[in-house]
Formats: sequence, structure tokens, C-alpha cells
Amino acid sequence: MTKRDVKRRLAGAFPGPDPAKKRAFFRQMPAPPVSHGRMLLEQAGYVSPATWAVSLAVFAAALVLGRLIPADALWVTAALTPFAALAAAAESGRPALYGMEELELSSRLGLRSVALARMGAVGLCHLALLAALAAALADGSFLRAGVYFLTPYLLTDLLGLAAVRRVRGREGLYVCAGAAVLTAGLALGLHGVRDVYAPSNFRWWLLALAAALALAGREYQKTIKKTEELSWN
Amino acid sequence: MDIEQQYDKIYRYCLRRLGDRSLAEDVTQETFARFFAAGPRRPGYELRWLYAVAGNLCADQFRRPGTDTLPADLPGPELPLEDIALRQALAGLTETEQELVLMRYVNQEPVRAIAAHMGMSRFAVYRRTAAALEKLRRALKEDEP
Repeated sequence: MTKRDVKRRLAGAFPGPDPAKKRAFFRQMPAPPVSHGRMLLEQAGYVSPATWAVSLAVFAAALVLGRLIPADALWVTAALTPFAALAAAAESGRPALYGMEELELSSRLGLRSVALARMGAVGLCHLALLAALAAALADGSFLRAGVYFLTPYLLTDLLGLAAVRRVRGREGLYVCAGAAVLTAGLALGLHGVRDVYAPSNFRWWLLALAAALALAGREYQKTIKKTEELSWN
Repeated sequence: MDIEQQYDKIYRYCLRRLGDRSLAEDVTQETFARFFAAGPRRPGYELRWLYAVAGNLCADQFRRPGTDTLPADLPGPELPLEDIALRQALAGLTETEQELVLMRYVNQEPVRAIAAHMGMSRFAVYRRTAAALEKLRRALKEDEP
């Protein structure tokens, strides 16, 4: 008899709990306590790799283009950020796209918390990338660059969220893409307007950002509320 | 942390302490009910918390009015193991050695976690689990035909 034999006998000798009682106990218990940070990290793992890939590709393209044409870095980047927002909005419509809403609703965490955590994870990642872009490309004012990048991003985000809430499935995704192209086109078109990116017009940008923030917040609320309305039982 | 896997570990821990399946089930469920009610804990500390609460609840079982307290010189409750030779060999170990063997070789806890729970150094855990395993091996060897 070797020590390994003893270990093997020990591992198999202690009986486990009654599986039926265990199942019944966990069925009546609420979801295990998880901190917000941990929930965010865990759910970030379930965000589609395509969402992360698109986000990184958009921000990398913005950085490269901004470096290549430093004079036009702000508006080029502003025109690219809607495509990152497209990835974020499309992510929120993924359960509906693949018909997984019912399954996610029946999960112990619930679709509402899962949707919030995933949108939060993607949104926070995008915010960090936007801040990094603003720091890398700003020619003087970090705040100004941040506002120029964030405004079209939020505009696409709110249009995308409204689209995936109203139009289900793949069509919703197409509407989202249309919203991104529209906002990017707007950012490109604004470049033609004289002095629109000039410091003297910055207050209008601030105003637009405030409006986009308020509307995007409302759209997030509505999207989350919709997941509550879907609850069964 | 796989909560259902931890449930099995805590159940086995309680079973060793109490020697009664039904009581072990009750204490395990009470431990987890408190865990769920207590809110999020620092990552990495959940298991330590579960063992500590389960240990206290097991001790409470003997403090209840009408429950005879086990005298210090008597062995703990008999384990409901089907392997009689192993049960007898385990009975030859001290309470601490039994707990170390269960946590290390049955629940497969890392030495660091066992040291934190038992209030020992990691070196002491290594030394005492190895000694307990050797005792078990000798006892089982003597029992062999």
C-alpha cells in the first residue's frame, strides 16, 4: 500500500451530499453575491470577440489615420468613432438576434443584469480607448478632442440602441449600421462647414454632447426597462 | 468560484465534524444561506469564510441545550464511511490530523488555504499532512490480509 493508494481511497471514501436536496436548496436561493466589478469582468468574457475586434480595429485605424494626417486628426477620428458605437449597440441586441432571450431570462442572474453588465463593460472599454485617443491626438486641448470624439460616439449609440429595441433580429443590426454611417457622414460633412472644429465654436459642441449624453442615458434606461418587461412569471 | 462544488466540500467538512448526514446537510445549508445573505466578499476569501462559518456552526451543534458536549479525551463522532478499514484508520488520527487529511486529500484545498483556515504555517501543514498520511498508510497496511 503506497501513499498514492491511500490518497485515492480517501478521495473516493467521503460521501457527497444528497444531489436532490442540494438541487432543491440552490433552486430556492438567490444568485450568489457578486461584486459589481467582478460581475462586469465576468460578463465581459461573454461579449462577442467580434465586438472587441471591431472596437480595437476602429480605434487602431483612428490612431493610425490621426498620426498620418495630423492636421485633420480630430474630424477623421470623430468620423470613425460611430463605428465603435455600432459594435456596442449591436452587442446589446445579440440575445434577440440569436433567439437567446428566453434562455438568458431563465438564467439565475437575469437578462437585465447581464445586459447592463455587458453594455457597461463595452462602454467602459470604449471610454478608456476614447480617452487614450484624445490624449494621443489632441493638439493642445485634451478636453476638446474628447468632446469631438465622444459626441458622434454617443449619437450613434443612442440611435443604435433605439434601433435594436424597435427592430428585432438582423434587420436591427442593419439599421444600427445605417445609423453609424449616417453619424460618420455627418462628422465628415461638418468638416466642410467653416470653422466648425474651431475653439470659438466649442460651446456648441459642449451643448451637443450634453444633449447626446441625456438622450443616450434615456435610451439605456429604455433598453434596460425592456428587458424587465420581458420577464416571465 | 464554483458554488456547487464548494457546497460539496463544506458538506464533507461538516460531515467529518458531526458524523451525521442529515445534520451535516442542515449545517451546510445554513452556512450557504448566510453566505448568500452576507453579500459579496473579497475574491479569494469566500472559501475561507465558508469554512470558518461552517466550523462555528458545527461547534454550535454541541453547545445547544440538551446536546451532550464531547469530552476532550473521547474521539469525535464516527464517520459514515462505507470503507470500514479506512474509517478505523482515520479514527486513529487526531481531530486536527483528520481535518488536515480531509481538506488536503478529499477537498483538495491548496496548502495556503488550509494554513489560513487552521492558523498554521504552510510548513506545519505539509509536515502534519505527510505524517497523518503515513499513519493512515501504516494502519491500512496492517489491516491488509
